[in-house]
Amino acid sequence: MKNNQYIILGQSVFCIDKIKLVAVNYSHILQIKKWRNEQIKFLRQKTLITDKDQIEYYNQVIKPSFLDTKPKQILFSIIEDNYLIGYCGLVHIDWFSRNAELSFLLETKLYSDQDQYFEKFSSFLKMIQQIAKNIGLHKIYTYGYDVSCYRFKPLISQKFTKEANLVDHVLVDNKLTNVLIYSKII
Amino acid sequence: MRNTTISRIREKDLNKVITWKSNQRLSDQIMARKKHLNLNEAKMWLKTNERDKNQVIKGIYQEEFNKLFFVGIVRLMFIDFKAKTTELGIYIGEEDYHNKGVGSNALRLIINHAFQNLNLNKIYLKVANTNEKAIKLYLNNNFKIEGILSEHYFNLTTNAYEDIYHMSLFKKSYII
Repeated sequence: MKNNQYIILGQSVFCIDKIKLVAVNYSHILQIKKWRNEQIKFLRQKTLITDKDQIEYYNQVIKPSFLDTKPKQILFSIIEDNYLIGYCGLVHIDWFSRNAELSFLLETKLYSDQDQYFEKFSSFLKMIQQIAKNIGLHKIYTYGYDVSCYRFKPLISQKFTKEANLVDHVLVDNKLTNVLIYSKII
Repeated sequence: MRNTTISRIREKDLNKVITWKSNQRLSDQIMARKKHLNLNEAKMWLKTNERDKNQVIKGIYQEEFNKLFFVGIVRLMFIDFKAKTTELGIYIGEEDYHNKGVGSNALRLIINHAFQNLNLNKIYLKVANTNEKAIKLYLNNNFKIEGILSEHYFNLTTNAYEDIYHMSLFKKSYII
């Protein structure tokens, strides 16, 4: 499988231990779509994504961004032992303020094992911070629904700060839920 | 100042929108990037925003000498009808109408619209820490600070980072 490459990054693969980040690959997008639909209640996504939607998104948004010197987003497939376990990326990149939102999604079953979740999230989080630094960003931040505190542990352990608690901000399982914003100046 | 209304933006007023959007200082004040639109692009901008079912966009009009002056824009964005939340954006583009209570009037009108007509429960907004008058206005209307995003916006007018305040108002805290 030939890896795509974001021209801005100058390399196509990033590794820590067994975890590898590669620019999001066409062969992964339908699996990612499946996970997004399974986890829709935790995402800003409002409706289920179809195969056609996802393919169009890849061709019209993701693929052209590989050649962009100031892309609005940089998305990676997360690979462990040649097996896709999720995706992550820097999105809503603001090149004036030099900040970006960290977006990520792991294989649905990984959320049930807190230790594995911590280990894998921690690995790609380290790489994403380094990538953000390499492209000259000043700050990264992420939004998360306040449904289970273990989800934020990797962020806290890498010195992300809780900057906001947006009270009763979204509806998850018919319950108003807070949204937390964690950030780090890098 | 009395007689402020919010209503549909008239096509003949779009030239003012074009001027405001290209003003660096005003853009920085509302944390939007400066844009140069032509009239057709401005018409398209208005049409797209008016068609968006999860948004309300209105012009702020001030009546003086029996004439209506278009002085600013107010928006409810990302309306989530399930969670009953929306993000508020408001600015007075005409500098002659700053510090005259027009923003305050428009704010109350849009809050009433959000809570009473749209039956929303929470209005939130983002404001730069340097925009002290706006923060004071929001606090006076019972908005609370939910978080401070440090060094989050780079102001091209001052060449410096600014913090962003996340503020919100719940229907139950709003006194009509």
